[in-house]
Amino acid sequence: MAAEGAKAMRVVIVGGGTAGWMTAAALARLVPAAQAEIVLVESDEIGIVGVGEATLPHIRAFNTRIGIDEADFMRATGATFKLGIEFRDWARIGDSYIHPFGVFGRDTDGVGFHHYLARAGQIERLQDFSLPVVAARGARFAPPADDPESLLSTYGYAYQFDATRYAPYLRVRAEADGAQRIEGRVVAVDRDADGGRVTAVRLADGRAVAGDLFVDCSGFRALLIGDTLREPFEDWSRWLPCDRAVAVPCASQGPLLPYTSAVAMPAGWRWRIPLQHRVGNGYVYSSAHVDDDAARDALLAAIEGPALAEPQLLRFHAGRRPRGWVDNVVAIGLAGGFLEPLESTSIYLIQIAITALVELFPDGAIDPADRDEFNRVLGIEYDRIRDFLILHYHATERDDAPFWTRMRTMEVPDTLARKMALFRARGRVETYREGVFLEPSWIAVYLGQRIVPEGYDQRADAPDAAGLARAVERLHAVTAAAARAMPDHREYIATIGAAA
Amino acid sequence: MNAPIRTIAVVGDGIGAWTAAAALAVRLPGVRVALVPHTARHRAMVDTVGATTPAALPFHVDIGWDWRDALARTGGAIRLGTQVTGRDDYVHAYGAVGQAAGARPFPAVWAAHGIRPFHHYAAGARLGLAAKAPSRDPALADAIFGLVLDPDRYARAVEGYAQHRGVMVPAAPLAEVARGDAGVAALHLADGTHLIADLYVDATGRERRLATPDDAAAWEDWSRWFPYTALTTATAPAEMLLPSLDRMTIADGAITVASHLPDRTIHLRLARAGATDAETLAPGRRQCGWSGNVVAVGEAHVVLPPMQGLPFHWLHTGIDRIVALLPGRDCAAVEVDHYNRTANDEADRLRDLLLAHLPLADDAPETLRDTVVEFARRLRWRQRDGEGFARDDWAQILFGRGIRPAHLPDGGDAEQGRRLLDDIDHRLAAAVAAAPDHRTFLEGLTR
Repeated sequence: MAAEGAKAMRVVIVGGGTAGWMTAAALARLVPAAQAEIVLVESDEIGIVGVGEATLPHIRAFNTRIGIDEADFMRATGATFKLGIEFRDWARIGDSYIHPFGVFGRDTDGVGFHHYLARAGQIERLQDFSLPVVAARGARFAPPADDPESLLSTYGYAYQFDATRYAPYLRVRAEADGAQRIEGRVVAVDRDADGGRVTAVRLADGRAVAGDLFVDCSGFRALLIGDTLREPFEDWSRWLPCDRAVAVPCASQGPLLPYTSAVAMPAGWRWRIPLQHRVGNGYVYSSAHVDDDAARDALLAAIEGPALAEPQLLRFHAGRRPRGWVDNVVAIGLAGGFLEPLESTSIYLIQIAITALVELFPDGAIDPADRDEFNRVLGIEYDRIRDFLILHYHATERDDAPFWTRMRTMEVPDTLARKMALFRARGRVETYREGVFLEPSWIAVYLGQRIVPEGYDQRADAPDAAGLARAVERLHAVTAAAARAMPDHREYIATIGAAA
Repeated sequence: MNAPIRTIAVVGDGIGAWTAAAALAVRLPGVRVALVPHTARHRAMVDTVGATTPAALPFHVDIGWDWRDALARTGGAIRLGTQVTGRDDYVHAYGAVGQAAGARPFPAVWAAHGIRPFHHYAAGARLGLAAKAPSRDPALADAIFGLVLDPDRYARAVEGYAQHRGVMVPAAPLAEVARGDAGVAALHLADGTHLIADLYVDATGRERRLATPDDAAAWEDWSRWFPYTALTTATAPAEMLLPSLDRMTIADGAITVASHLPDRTIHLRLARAGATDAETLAPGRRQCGWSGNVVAVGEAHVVLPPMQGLPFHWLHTGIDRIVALLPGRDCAAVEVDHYNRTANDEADRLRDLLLAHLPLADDAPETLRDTVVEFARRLRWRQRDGEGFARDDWAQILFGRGIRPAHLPDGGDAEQGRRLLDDIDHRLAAAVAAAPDHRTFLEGLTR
């Protein structure tokens, strides 16, 4: 509710990519019109990065909140379902594991299932006790059940979609909800007399777009938060040295897989994102370890079908701005920070920033406490994801390439070093109340990266050995049967009417 | 490395020591537990007043002792929360309050449209104000409760239960603690024998008998924020209509708490320091609850005043944490550090909840300030690391203190909001009218 007599705040979103149109659609839908007037400035001359084709399950809540129908969205964006992320060749060449959106086995008496499996000396089988992993391997998909007793309630799902189609899809909704689009390229930024708040952005044709609150969705360019307000960029490349990506779509071969793959490469990793109409591919690499031509050739050699476009080169640095909200400028998306899409967090981070902005939306003047809270919430998210990403690179036995030797032997943040040591000691996971990845995600990656616990929770000694062995085999059989009973992923998409 | 812990020696007496011994013996397979008696210099708060939080119910389930049986055997009662008077006038009852209107959380609906107090929409508060107890009516499903244990009778019962579950008691009490590199090397007993264990549990309360002088000295004093440190205790006859809420009065000079048992009422008075004839109870915590092969439980780690069932809450959650995070025999630093971080996070949030009953001090702990400020600005409440309570626990206390949001979140349509509030009110009124009174409820437990 706006304060008495307060007039609507004019919000100017600079940049119309995924971040810009997600922000516009959410603000137009969720902030009352009496409180905010939404304007988005974008130029058709500037392409969108459109990274983050793969998402986390949180995207569903976002879509639901802005009133998106799932089948319609999937049709429009060529989307597929996603049960997790496969990591291939990370700890050792030949390894493969899936980080699923779901739990492993059944916790019993408050003790995690992986402790029982460790006690039985079979922890390397953990993947077989995740329904989304087993279903994903078989190219099957069914939506989860609500009944908490059902094995079918032990997972969630996300989407893989064409990000270049998501922004236009959201644009239609944002405009229907009252957001106004202004075509134009920003060439200058006006600030008030004392060089503080931004008052307007000036376009190439001379027009000025004035506003009270500016959202910087200009991508790596960081037009407002960086170029204008000079908020520094905290560089994390000492831990995450990949600084380029080359991306190319190709025709799809074989079954439609309900998971994204991240395949380790000599100087980085390669993504494979299956959509309905094509497969997205990219090689994320460290330019200190491979040159652009070699990286492009390596990518083109690895893709499964004919390339459908010219390979596209992206440059970036891992890191974030300590403050995403400075004065009256809020950075959302790549302008605020970048973490490589190894765990599909790009769109998630956009979503978290939008959610925080909606919750903290000014009614009248901007309250500095709102800015502080926004920056605190985003800071925790970035830092915790950063540690999770570093884990994938650092916990490796690979010594076949200088890149991997560097990653294996580098010093990692203390916050990560202690998490790894804790898991190695007894399979325990440092959990937290704020931040995206929960215990099963950490367990999946620790084990997948061959950090094998030396001990286990002593309470797992309670059941007798034969009884435990029987229960484990029963759960294994039930999981396999539940996966077999699911429909084929492509067929399921067809039944909900989302097939292209 | 990583050989499991097989023997544990708990040192102390009273409820804290016996509860720890019983829980460790029952919940850790393959572990033998001994309790080495040591009469503490100070009477612990859990031995003085038996108010627990709802955490006591699953705690008893986990140690294999039905809480109904524990209550019936020892003549205890239940507590749905605390009725606060004095500077403010409100009820904090456990459990969710009201119901959300779609995506709109109930506190926002209430803040926009509510006329009656916030707790008027809490099932536990309505029952408590009528001296009643929950029935099976679904309208009362949100009312959860803690126990009021009779400290004297419960102490004997938990001692008996611990021994029944195999806790051994040496013939003589503790005489001397022999120290070694890892912490405690052996416990020398008064009869000349000694006892060696893989892990030692310090349950000697504020005496902290097993702590090294350095560990005991690394103390964070909370009395600068909570100056009510002069404790006196009195007993009065029971009230005829047995209350199911504690009563707490908060005034500038003193805080008083009345805890209601079926056969008597225990009155505690916490005055600002300086009062004569009073025991000093300064809240605070040690930096390291676990050090080497010694872990502290209850007041040996954190001292909390007898408000809102916090001393028992800390005892129960602390024992749960030892069970859940038990390291190997080597008590590896990485595991012990994790335990300490987790324990301190929780202790600090209990401190914050305690201090939330008082006006926010200028130098208040940062985590508390964040919570109060965010609530006061926009009714935002984020679950912090270590949080032991829920949004609606905080909301009842902060609303009760008169805090209203500076930026009122969207409370939705006024008529719909008021209708929702009226519906909840009527449902609760009907369910409370049909619910049993507290004494009838307690009699029902024994049948």
